[in-house]
Amino acid sequence: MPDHQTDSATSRTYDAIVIGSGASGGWAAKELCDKGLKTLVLERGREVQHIRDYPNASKPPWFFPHRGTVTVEEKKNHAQSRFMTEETYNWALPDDEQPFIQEKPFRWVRGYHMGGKSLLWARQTQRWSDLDFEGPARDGFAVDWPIRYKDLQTWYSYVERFAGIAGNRDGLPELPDSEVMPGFEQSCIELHLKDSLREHFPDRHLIQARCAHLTDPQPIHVQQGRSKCQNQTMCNRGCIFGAYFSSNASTLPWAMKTGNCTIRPWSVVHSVIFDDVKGKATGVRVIDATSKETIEFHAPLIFVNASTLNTNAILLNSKSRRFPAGLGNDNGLLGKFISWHNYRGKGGAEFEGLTDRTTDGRNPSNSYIPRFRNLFRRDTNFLRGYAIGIGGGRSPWSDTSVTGDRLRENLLHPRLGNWYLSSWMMGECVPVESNHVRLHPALTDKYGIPQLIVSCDWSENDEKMVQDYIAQMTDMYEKAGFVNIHVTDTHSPPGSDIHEMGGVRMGWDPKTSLVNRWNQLHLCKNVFVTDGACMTSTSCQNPTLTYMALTARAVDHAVEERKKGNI
Amino acid sequence: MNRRDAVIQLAVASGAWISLPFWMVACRMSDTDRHLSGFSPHEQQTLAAIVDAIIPAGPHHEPGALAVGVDKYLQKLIDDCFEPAARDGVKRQLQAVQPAPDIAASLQRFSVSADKDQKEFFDLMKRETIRGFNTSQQVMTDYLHYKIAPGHYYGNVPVKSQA
Repeated sequence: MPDHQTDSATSRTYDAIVIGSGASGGWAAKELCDKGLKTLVLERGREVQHIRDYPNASKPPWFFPHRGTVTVEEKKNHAQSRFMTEETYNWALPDDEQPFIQEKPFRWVRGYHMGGKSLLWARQTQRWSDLDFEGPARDGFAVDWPIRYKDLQTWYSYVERFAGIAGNRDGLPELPDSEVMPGFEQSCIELHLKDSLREHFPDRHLIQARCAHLTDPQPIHVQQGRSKCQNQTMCNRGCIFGAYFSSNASTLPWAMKTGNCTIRPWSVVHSVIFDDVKGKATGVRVIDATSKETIEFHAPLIFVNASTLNTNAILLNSKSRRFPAGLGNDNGLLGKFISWHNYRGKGGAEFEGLTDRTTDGRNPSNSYIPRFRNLFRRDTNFLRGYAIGIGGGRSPWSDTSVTGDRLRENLLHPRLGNWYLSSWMMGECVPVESNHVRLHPALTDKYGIPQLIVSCDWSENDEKMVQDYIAQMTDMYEKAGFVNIHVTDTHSPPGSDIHEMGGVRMGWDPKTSLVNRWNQLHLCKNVFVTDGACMTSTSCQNPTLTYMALTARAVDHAVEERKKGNI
Repeated sequence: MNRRDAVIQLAVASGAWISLPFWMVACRMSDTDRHLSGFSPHEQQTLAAIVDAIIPAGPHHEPGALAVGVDKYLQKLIDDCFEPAARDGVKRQLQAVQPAPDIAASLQRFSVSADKDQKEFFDLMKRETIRGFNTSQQVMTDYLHYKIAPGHYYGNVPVKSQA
């Protein structure tokens, strides 16, 4: 007689399970599959096939009947949602999918579909240096990173070559060079500011930001089916050219081609299963989003890449006799020291010169001033510092104060306005214990999973940093001869940067951290956390590239440890 | 409005639509045309007159707002994207505005009206007429040099090479 129970369990057993299909989950899947492991990727949202499921990609404005506005019907159950435009509505998350409690105002931007936020990111990829990794030790906050730049250097190169990075070799110690293909041009207004900085602030460098776009596709990218960027600048609708890096265009189809990958959409992870007898994790408990039934999948190796806050939620909800407060959480620090980036400061200014010059085409990237505050020593009244994004051009301009024939002529024949130059701060938030997430003791979502309480706030250090950005940016605009300068504090809530990090931080000591230098939970070595949750500090670079490098490195280690029989 | 009324109005509206000059019909396109309008024929005519007054066609075949379907866009926008109270407010003003004999003069009064609702109505009509016009295929491709995929970005070119 067939043993249906055993057969069923066997059919749900893999060599590895990856929770989440975003940038880091996609990398985990690719690396595990490349190394021959039968891998199950669990995605809580719907399937998104590259190209096929980008309904609004490459459509001009007139294809949208409401020219960008969402309908009353679409707004229902979407009060908290982002991506609320007609072009990007297909990524907007309904409120009832995962309600959460904002103990303090927090903007939690989620990408719950195959590919996650790798379809929606700003595609900026700046490396960390030791000035970042050594931050907590030097300035006395959080805990010391157990890794340094040399540990990640080759892995940065490894993921950059596959993802494809456009940029220049700038030779800056604070922003180590990437493996690059040609960068996008800087506009002459950006170069104007660059020249002015060279004269007035020699320690501030305005470079072309490095970004995950193909400007000169190599054979490895052609193998992925990707091609050169066409400067459409509608990236967050999905790119039919696969010109920017996303899980959907790159790592997931690559993993599928190995024959080792199974991707299961509509799989809302409830918890990681810990076997008290075996003393290790044995699988993942999933609620099927359509049938609502509970299903268990098994594997000796588990990667948690559910995005920072949801990774925290899953681990907090992974309770067992051994770990009553959440998986690996003996020290009670799981969910604590949540941090993010300070994007509150924004600026803009006009320039009245260079009237005979303009730009042509569209720039999918921008310029970048790497951190210059407290870089080699403390030189301000606050800790750490900020990078600055810079982008500029000339917009066509029409006088619309009139109506009738004159209005028509003005609209059909716009004039070029002054050069403008926008800037935005990207500040490092110093993690503090009081900024945390925890599970609500009673409230659950529609899957029966406890709701997450998010309790995060700005600190005095953040306030000082915003004021410094406002003063410094204003000064930089003024010294370069800009007019109509306005640099302000938007007072946006934490989370607006979409760079939430921490809660499962990396460290040397199991008493003060959750994962070790290989991203393994100290107390449950066959579970790896390689998304933003593992971040001990945040520095101020866009973090995704670092997650990707950490993930590839962690998979390499995991597979070696499996071979040695250590996990 | 129930569906039956909507269908009846569509039929009426279609009757009016066929009588438009051919060049105007030819330019209309896409989903916007098949939209079951929630506006009465009279309201539709007033709306058309308003957008035509805000951006009229030019003497040398330059498109105006009507030619690029801005009135249809406005109907779709207001029907689908406005809360019922806001939609009703628009319709009240459509009744209040006097299309004949000179809609431009009527709009001019609205544009400086002390009545908040009239002023807001005018501002809405103008703002959305400009948006509909500037995002239309004809204006974007024939006049604004829009390219869906430029394939390049040059950061420093002489102004003249733009045209």
